[in-house]
This record gives sequence, C-alpha cells and structure tokens, in this order.
Amino acid sequence: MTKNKFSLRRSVNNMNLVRFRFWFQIVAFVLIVYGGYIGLDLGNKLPTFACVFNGEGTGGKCYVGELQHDLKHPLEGFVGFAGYAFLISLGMFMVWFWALNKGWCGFVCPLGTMQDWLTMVREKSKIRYSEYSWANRGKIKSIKYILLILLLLLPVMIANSVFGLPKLPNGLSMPFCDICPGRMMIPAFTGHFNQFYIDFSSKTDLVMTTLGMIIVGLFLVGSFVKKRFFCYFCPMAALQYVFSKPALLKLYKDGAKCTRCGDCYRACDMDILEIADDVTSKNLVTEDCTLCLKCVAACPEEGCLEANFMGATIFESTKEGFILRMAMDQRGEKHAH
Amino acid sequence: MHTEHTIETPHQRQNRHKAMEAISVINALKEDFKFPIQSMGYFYDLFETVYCRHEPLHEGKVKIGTMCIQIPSEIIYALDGVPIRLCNGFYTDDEIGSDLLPQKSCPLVKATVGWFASDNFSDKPDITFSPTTCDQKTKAGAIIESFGHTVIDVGFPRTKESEESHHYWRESVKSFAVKLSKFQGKKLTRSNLESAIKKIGYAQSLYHKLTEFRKNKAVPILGVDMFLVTNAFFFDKIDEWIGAVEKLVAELEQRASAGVNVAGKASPRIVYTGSPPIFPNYKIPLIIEQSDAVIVADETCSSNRMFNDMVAVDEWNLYDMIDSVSDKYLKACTCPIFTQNDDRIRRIIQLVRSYSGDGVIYQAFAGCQVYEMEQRSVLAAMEREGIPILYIESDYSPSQHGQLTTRVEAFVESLKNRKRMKK
Amino acid sequence: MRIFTFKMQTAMILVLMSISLFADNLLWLDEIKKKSCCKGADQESGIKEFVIKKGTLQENKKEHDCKNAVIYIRDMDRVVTEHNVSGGKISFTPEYKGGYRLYFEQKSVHEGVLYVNLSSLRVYNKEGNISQSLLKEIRGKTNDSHYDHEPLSQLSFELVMEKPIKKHHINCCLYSGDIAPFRVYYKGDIQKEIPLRVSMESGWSNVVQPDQEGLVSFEIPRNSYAETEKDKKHSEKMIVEASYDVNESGVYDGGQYRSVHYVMTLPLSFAPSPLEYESRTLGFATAIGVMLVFSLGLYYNRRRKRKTPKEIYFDEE
Repeated sequence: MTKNKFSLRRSVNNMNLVRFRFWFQIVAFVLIVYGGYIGLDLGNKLPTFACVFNGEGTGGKCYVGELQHDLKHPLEGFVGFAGYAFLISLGMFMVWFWALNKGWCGFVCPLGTMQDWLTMVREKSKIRYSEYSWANRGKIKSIKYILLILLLLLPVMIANSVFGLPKLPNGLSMPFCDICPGRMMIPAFTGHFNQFYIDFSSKTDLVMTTLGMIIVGLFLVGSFVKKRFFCYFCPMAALQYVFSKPALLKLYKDGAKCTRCGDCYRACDMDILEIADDVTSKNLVTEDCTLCLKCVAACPEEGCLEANFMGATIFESTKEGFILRMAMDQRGEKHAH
Repeated sequence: MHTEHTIETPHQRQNRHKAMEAISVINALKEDFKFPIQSMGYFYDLFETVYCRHEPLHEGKVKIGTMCIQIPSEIIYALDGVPIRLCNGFYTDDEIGSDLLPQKSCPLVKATVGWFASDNFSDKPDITFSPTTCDQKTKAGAIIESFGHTVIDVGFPRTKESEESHHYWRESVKSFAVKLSKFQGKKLTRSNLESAIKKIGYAQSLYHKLTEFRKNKAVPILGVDMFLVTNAFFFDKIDEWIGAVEKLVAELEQRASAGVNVAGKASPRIVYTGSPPIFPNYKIPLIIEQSDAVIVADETCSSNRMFNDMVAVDEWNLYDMIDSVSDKYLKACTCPIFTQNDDRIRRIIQLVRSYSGDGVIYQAFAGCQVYEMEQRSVLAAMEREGIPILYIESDYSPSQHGQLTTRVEAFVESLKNRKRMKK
Repeated sequence: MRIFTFKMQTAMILVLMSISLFADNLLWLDEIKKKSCCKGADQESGIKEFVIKKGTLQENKKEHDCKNAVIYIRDMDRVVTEHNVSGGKISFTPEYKGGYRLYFEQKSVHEGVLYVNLSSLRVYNKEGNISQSLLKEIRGKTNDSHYDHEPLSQLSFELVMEKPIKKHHINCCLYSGDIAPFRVYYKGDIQKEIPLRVSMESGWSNVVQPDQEGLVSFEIPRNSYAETEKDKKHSEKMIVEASYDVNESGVYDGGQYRSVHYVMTLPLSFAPSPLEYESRTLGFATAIGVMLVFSLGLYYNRRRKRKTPKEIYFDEE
C-alpha cells in the first residue's frame, strides 16, 4: 500500500471501462457517421467502417472500399499512377491503423458499436448470450481471410483477364461492400434506408445484393444473441492483423503473473482463449482481438494485462481496479447495478 | 459444580480432547510471539468458543456442510444457508476416523469422517455437499452418508483445460443450485445472488488488503495468525468476520506505518504450500515461525486459494452470474487433483517473487497422494528457478515434533546463511 | 408515349423568341472519349481533349472557329487557370485525380449585339501526375463535390447546377426521376426570372420556369424509346441552357455594340433510374425474412437444449 493515493495512473487503472468505452464509442460513432455534416473529413483510408455509402454524413471513408476501388485497374496501370496511388493508400491506411492498432474495432468502428448496442439491449432484456463451441470457433476464423482474398482478387479480375479466365462482370467491382452490413446499417443512421434493395439489372448484381440483404438480416439477429457476431467474419480485421505487429498500441500480458483464472476470457466478446491460456506470449493482440480492453478491466492480477502505447503503460490490471469495477469495495448489502 | 461420580461420555471425552488440542494452539499463538495484535483477540475468542466451549454459532439457521472449497458459498448465502466447511484439523477426530478408513489415508479426510462418525457437532450441518475432487474426499462422502447424514455429490472434473470440463462443471453447479434451492424452499434470484457475490467479494478484498501488508519489509502479521483468520471463514458468521477483519486491517495499517515487525530483521521469509493447515493442526506453521522464520504467503486451499480469486461477472444477470461463479471454482483452482498443474508451480514462483520470499516449505499430509505426487515436479521447478525448498511429510500426530523442528530449523538456518552470503 | 411528370407551368407554352432563334446554334463543350484500342499512348500522357460542338444534340458539327474564345479550368481546390483556345480542339493535362470543371467563353460582336457564348462541363480524371498529386493522394479527401455552389468570378453570367434530389441510393451521376435544381447568376447575383430550356438527345425539349427564389428545377424525364431491356444502364445526353439580354453598350474587338446577349449551356448525361431495376420492398422483405427464420431457428435451438431449471429464475427485486 505504498501507492500514491491520488495519482493519475491509479485513477486510470481504477476507471469504469465499460462506461468510458460506452461514451468513447458514442463520440467516435458521431464523428464517423455524422462528422461530414460539421465538415469533418478524415480522408478515405480509415481502418474502420466509415461507410462510403453514407453520403455527406460520413466523416471519412473506409479503406476496404477504397482498396477495392484501387485494385480495379488494368495491370499495366499499376506501373504508373494507379500503382503509386495504391501504395500511398495502403501506406496511409497503415499509418492510421498503427496509431490505435485493433482499437479501431473496439473503440471506433460504427458497426462494432452497433453490435455493442444490440448486446446492451439483449443484456437489459435478460436474454442469455450464445457462444460458439471451441471447435466451431476455430473453424470460422478462416472465413475473414477468405473474404479478404476475394475482395482483393475480384476487382483485379474485373479489369484484367487473370490466368486467361474471362473478365468478371462490373457488378463485382465492390464485392465486399455489396455484402457488408455496414452499407445498409450505417446510412440508416443518417436517415437513408435506400441501401436496402435488390438489384435486378444483372445476374451478378442480383446475387450480390440478395446476399447483402441476407447478411444484414443475419447481422441484426446474430449480433443480438452473440457479442460482436460480425467481427469474426470481418475482412477488415484480417487486413489489419496483417499489419498489427508494428502498431503503437499493444495489449501486453505478463504470463508469470497470470493465474489462468479465465476472468479475461469470460469478459472477451470475441471468446479468445489465448488471452486466458497463453502464458508465454507477451503481445496478446490476436487476429480476432478488438482491443476493447475488457480483459484488462476484468483481470484481478496486479499488472498482468496492460494496454501499452509506444512502451508506456496507459491502462493496466490492478486488484484495486478489479474490486472497484466489480463493486466489491463496500460492505453494503445492496448494490445498484 | 462437578460431582465426583459423573462418568465422562464419549462425546464429552472427545470434546475435552479437542479443547485441549485447541487451547494449546491458541495459547501458543497468543503468547509465544512478540508484538501481539489486539484485533486478533476476536479470532482467539471465536476459536475458544467453538472448539473449547463447543458453543453453537448459527442456532436457528440452516447449515450447509461443504467438503471442499469447490462448493460455491455465494449460492449458499444467496439461498439463506450458512456454509460450514467440514475440513477438519483435529487429531482427536483423526484417530476416530482411522478405524473407518485405510491406514494410509489422509489425516484431513480421516478427521472429517471421524467427526461425522462421532456425530458430535456444535453446528451440525443439515445437508452436506461433497464435490468429487480427490479420491479420498469423493469416497468419504459415501462413508459419511452411511452414518445417516444427507450427503449430495457434486460432480467435479479433474481437468480444467477442456471445454467439456467447463460445461460439465457449469451444469454441476446449476444442479447443485437446484438441489439446494429445493432443500431451502427458496429460489435463486438475480438480486440475492448478486448481493451474495458482492458480499463474498468484499470479504475477499479484505483478505487481499491483509496480504498486501505481508509484502512489506517489516511483516506486521504472523503467518499462523493469517491461517487462523482465514480458517475462521470456514464457519464464522460472515458479517462478523468482515467486521473483525476490517478492524484487523486498520490495526495492521497502523503497525505498518509504525514499522512493527513480528519477525526478526534477518528472519527468512517463507512461502508455504501444500496440504492445508487447518485449525488446530498448525504444527508446521508454528514450527516455522518459532524457528525465527516468517510465513509471508501461502498457496493452500485453507487460505490463499480460498480468497485469491473473486467472481468476475460480465453481465450482471443470473445466467452469467452462475457461470461466473462456476468458472471461479474451476479455472482459477490450483488444486493438485488436476491432471496438469503448471498453474500451481507458476503461482508459487509468483508468490515468491511478489512477496520477496527466501524459500518455500512444502508440506504434504502423509496419505495425501496428490500432493505427494506433485512434489517432484514442484521441487524440480524450484530448483530451476533457484528457489530453496523444503519438502516435509507430516500428519496430525504430535509425535514427530522434535524431528520436524530439527529439519525446519536447519532449513531456516541455511536460508539465513544464503541471505548473508548475498549481502 | 409516356406522360412526363414535368414541373412545367401551362402558361409557359409560349417560348421566348430569343431562345428559339439561337436554339439551333448552341455551342457546348464535349469531351472526346478515348477508345480502348488506342489507349496506351494517351494514357501515359494523361491528356484530356475536348471539342466545341455547335447545333443540336441530334445535328451538330465541330466548331473550328474559336476566335476570342477562352477556357477556364477550375480544379477541386477551386484554383482557376486560364487557357486560350486555338483550332477546334481543347486539350489539357490534369495533375490530380478527381473532378475538374471546364468553362468555355466566346465573345463576338454581330450587328450591334455582343454575343457571349458560355458552356461548362465537369470531367473526372482518374490518373493524375504522381509528383504533383502526392500530398493530395496522402490526404485522400472524402468530399469531392460534383456540384458547384458558387459561380466562377471570371464569368459575368453563369448557370449553376445544384445538388439533385434523388429517391435511389446512388450519389454520383444523374438518373431519370432525379430532380435537378439550377440557379442563374449575373455578376454574382441570383437572377430570379430566367427560364431554362432543356433539350434531350431523344429530341424532347421544354422550357422550365423558375420558382419565387429563382431556383429552376425539373424532374429528369425517362426516355421511353431507349432500349433499356438490353442495357439497363445506358446513358443519354441533355443540354440545359439559359440566356439573358442586357442593355449595355461598348466596344469589343473593334466592333460597337448596344446590347449584350448571354447564352450558357450545361451539357449533362443521365441514365435510367436505378429504381427501374431494383426493388426496395424485396430488399426489406429478404432482410426481415432472414431475421425471422434465424431468430426462430435460434429460439427452437435453445428450447431443444437443456433449459435452465425453474428453481433458477430472474427476479428484479
């Protein structure tokens, strides 16, 4: 008990992360979804779902959309401007991404925030959450990589004949946007429900837009019963993970201090087993991690888990913080919750 | 007034023997050490009341016996029961149990069985839940039942890594909750479970405050006193226990700022692990602390393991609270009954590091097979880490006192030398 | 023939003489689209080429007489550059990726009247010059508006299109059914009484009157002759035109004039409304249907599993 009673570090470690994140997400949501109305323009290389289809409201644009656009060029074009533009975009995407690492998912992504809101509604209505079995959890991991490869390959195959195959129809120019629930859900928040449609102009459009409608239906029900339902399949998460190693914000674990009590795993919306069971790795930003830091808040071991920015600890697990967050600091019979 | 002609009944004789065992330990705690703690008085009195005068604590309450730490006391409190942990440390009861169990059984299990066999309780459990942890406890349940007690087995998995174990244990806890709720005629609700979780959580947070003082250079509280405090949680009224520990924390705070040290300057700091010291079997801890060493931390199910991990709930609804409670008793547990137990080794090392321990003393009850079996791997790990360790096998009998003292004193001396060499 | 839902006042059947007189001699800007066969060399140079066309959308020829003509090019940063026109072809090399707006102005004196012919066209440049547009690419702006809200200060008279009102989901480009609003400026002030003449490639034309605030808007009519079955996204040209006479005398290029006659054209193109080939009702129905099936599936799946015993229940006390 030699700690300074009123230090900043201590109050940060004792914070109510759930409340902090709730408000942070609301602010980020407003900036990303409505930012355009107040003149905010963060560019078109954001590592989060700032939807292009959100028209004037959007405070920036999603890089996955831009990436599909950048790749729809004849191959010879990549020698010139298109190639440079592609590299610059990718570079800027990385710069943005490195600042927050996967924190973009847990704190900024409007689609993620929407899922958290649905989770809150479920929690309030006292309906139990669903979980994947560990085996299925492992199987669905690869889907996001498959989606990523498809969204990289299809635009190239529209503009080029790859391996002598015929060029793909133009309807596939934004293959992921077609099936991304963000396309329907994010503009809906600025009052535009016009992305809910099925396009009959060609077979490709018909298939893709129908898939999109099916996925938005799955998204709404799925994220109601399963925390962060969509994030398991998100190709943005896959793309981010490729560049995650040099990022500035990190989730570190001191395995020696871990008792493997599993509290972090309980708190994890993405059911990441490694967070509880891996006692050898230091960097615990795994492929599905959203850096929401709920695990840090749920860890009762002093300094076992920490959010680290460029080598400086910004938020770490403490016994005291845990006790405060679980409202176990008082003798009181009744606790408001 | 005593009359000359009264013949002592077996129960009276048993009680007299137990009182003798109890009072000698209480007196040792009270008198053998320097700087006694005032607020420990509550605990000395409590143990005297219960084990010397055999007065009931929970009259009119439904008492729920538990055979091991895995029975969630959160659920028992939520359903208006009083959990009584039946792990027993009396040699008197051990001797009674010896007639009923194989020769080489664990003294703790023998003592518990003996207690039930004699049916001599001050607070008799109305129903007993027995988790299927180690072989001996598992089988003891059936033996106790044969004496006419209600014993209900609660299935407990012996691996904690697999998904199946998690589900199995969660289901076990749910069915335990149902059985208890039927027994009590009361439903488990969101609000009663939440307040029980938070009350126990608060009690645990107080324990964490106590242990924090033991990290200090000047240790303000003895290990044996700590064992007594945590032991009291087995059967005490929870609110009174909380009140007494709050006072103890306040006193320790004063002592810490005054720099009171219950040990000597050069006293080696010991991390205690292995079979649980349960009142009045404080043989080894007493020998350690009487040999000028001080226990700064422990890894036993009668103390640290019982308090270290608190229930962590993500969604404060009943479905998640029950699962959180279940997970706490399975995942965080470092009991040697599990197939693999690297967690226990890492925990001991971590305790040595964070409490600046000089050495580890590992006690295994003769007959406690799982602790005996884990001895080799723990010793090897400590050797790798360069942590001195003493392995002691003992039981409840007072006979080996001299030999144990010699071994412990030698170990403490070697630790002192090591400390001096380092300087 | 389909009846157009046209915002037209019945009183406006009488077409002003001045408009009809010069209608056949309109000047407008047109981009020369490069054919894919001869792309290679031009792409590297990145040159954009335009011609001035004279006549109607149906019958026109290239105007080679570009005497006293000037081109203003405004980029996305609202930087304006001036170019002289020689011969019939206009070419410039855009440096950045993004939208540019071209303004054509030609003045001539004819029988005591100064004729000012104006035309404006938006072009999109896909490939800029990397050394020039490096910072722009890094910045990656989100807002690159198609619609200019302020008139160009170099021109005394201008017809400006504002953001159209759409019922479908595509923000870029014009579609039939969109309501396109225009404003006419003279020396920076909004002119509230100037009607617009709209003519389409299909031959249809009409005159639209401004409302009280001076906003001239009309719903782009659908071309029912077009073979949309084959090509649902076919595009059609139209020209929106405004003219204005001012009594002003002076001398221009050696010629005396007593009045000025301004004509401005905006060549635009549009495609059939996406609403013709997409269904929103079906979209919603699919999403809701999937939600119903999924949630019922979950419900029955949970019911099938072992239920939480009755002794454990929720109580909000």
